[in-house]
Amino acid sequence: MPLRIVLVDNDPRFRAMARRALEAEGVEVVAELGSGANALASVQDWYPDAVLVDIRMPWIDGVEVARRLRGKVGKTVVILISTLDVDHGRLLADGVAAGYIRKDELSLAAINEFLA
Amino acid sequence: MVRALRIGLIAVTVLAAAALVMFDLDHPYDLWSQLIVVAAPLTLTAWFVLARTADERLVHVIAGLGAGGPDETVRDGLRRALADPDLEIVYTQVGRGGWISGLGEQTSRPGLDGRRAFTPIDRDGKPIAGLVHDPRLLRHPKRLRAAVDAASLALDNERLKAQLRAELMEAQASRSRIIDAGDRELQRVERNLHDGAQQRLVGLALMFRLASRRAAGDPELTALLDDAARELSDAISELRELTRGIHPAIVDDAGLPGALEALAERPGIPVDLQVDLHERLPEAVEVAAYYLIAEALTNANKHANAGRVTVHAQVVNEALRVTVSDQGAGGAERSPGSGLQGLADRISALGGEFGIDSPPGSGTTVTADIPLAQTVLTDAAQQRLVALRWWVHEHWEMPGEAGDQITDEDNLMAAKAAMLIAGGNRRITEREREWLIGYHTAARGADWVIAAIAAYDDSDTLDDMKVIPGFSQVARGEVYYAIRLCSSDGPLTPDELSRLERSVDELGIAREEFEELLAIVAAEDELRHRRFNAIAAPVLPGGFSPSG
Repeated sequence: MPLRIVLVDNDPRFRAMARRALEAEGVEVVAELGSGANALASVQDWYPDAVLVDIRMPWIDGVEVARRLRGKVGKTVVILISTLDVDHGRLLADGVAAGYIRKDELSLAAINEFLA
Repeated sequence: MVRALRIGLIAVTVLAAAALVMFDLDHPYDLWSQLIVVAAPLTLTAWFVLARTADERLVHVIAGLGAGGPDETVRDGLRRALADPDLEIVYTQVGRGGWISGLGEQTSRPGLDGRRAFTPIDRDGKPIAGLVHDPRLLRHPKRLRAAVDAASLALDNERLKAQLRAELMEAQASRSRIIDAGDRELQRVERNLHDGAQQRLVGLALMFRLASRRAAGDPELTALLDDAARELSDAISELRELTRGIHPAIVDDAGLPGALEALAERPGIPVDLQVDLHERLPEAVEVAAYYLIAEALTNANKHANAGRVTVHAQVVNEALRVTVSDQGAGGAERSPGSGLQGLADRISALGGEFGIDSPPGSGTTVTADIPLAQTVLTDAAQQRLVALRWWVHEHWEMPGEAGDQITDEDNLMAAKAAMLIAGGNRRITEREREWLIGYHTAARGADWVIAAIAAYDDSDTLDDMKVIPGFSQVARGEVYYAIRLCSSDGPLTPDELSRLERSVDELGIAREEFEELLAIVAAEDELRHRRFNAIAAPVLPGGFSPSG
């Protein structure tokens, strides 16, 4: 069964590109959401294996989304993504998300590292 | 006079006590007449003596003005001479009007509340200073006048000192404002690079990977694409370095301790990090400390030839004390235009102190003390400024510092909210969208904000908007803005009106308030037409009429 993920990023162009790249590796992108508020409202509806959340989004940023999703999404793994340095991203993911992936290194293998 | 009466009263009590011992029941009134005869001259004498001493004291003090110790000011002298411990002198500010205290702080014209009296001190018919004193002194006009006359001779010096202090304070404040405005601008540039160029390059990197996968059967093409992807990856890294140098976003996100941890983990000589900070400090302080430590570590890596570097950061006496020390080669100095000099300037603009101790052969220690008392906006102040965005749009004389508080996100939020209140992006006409984009272009909105408005896909709801901090304060403004948006292509249609009404209900704004906003927009339209007819119409070819 393919890996099911939800992509949360306020930049539609990046979402489209990331979807193509991940789908080429056999990942199923079940939903693209454009804001933190949407993610909080509807991530649960999709039962994804992982949610990829952009760190820098207006108003409700990725860290806040991860914090609020904690313990509410069953086995779904929340992973932060951004163009920030790895050390910066890991620092932000610490304690709120399963991990951090730099956007230019986004791949099935990178996601799998954070799945049990 | 009060003291004189008190002395008189004591005299009377003593006399009364003496009289009681010798009280003669046959002549009861004699006692009172005796008391009055004896006490009255005593009281008068006491008053005269005290009044004289007060005047003499005044003469002494005034004669000694300027001859006292370094802390002896005209104010202190007058306080003693006039026996008014709360007396203050205020000065008019040269060139700017208004009043300043002896410490150089701006103050309103005092004495208007009735508790204190105000006596101006004039020079050539113009007020140069004023005494704020006990109103009871007004009963001694001669003494007050003598004090004013004498003091005015000694005041020039004091006034210049106050003026100088005021100018220093203003210079200090303006340096902090310049640093702050610069930081905000750099933060914006960093944000734009991150949201713009970096994001595009990252998309491109993913695309290269995709292409390389498709070209799997063609080794030559695969190699070419992989080379291109590597080049791109280097470009992304360089851009990331660059944006980090422009503004240390990690400080915003992770606070100073987190940012320093990341700094210490970078390749280079080992860093012994001793950070004792338990709460967030003002942003300007954190950023200055981060830059200082980053620069000191870079220098240690480049020149010190040291085995380790120790970084200390802790709050001491309401200031952040930062120390970076190594046991390396020493001999570092701050030359004009060097990174360290730039940081010294930044720290001094924040009212802090910077030092470097680097004897050749004995290591280098860089220290800084940065006061925590910077002007920090509270959440409430921040929210107020978001509300003020409406003023910025309508009043272009708004001070820059206030305008700078309004972020690109605020502008985008406003545009999205207006579209949603008008019934969502799908419901607005092309002409209306153009108006909105024009509005934001005129308000110098960031390119990405304009692009986001043009491409908005109704992915928010009014409920999302309502939870944004500060939104309730701008909601009326948003409705006003939405009415203007809907009216930009002609009068409101019944459909537009009913959608606006629905949104107004959803936002919890009363219908009467909505009616008022409708009336305001209509009146403004009318005024715009009048203005057009008076100014533009006479010089335009006949038959031209304004639209929207």
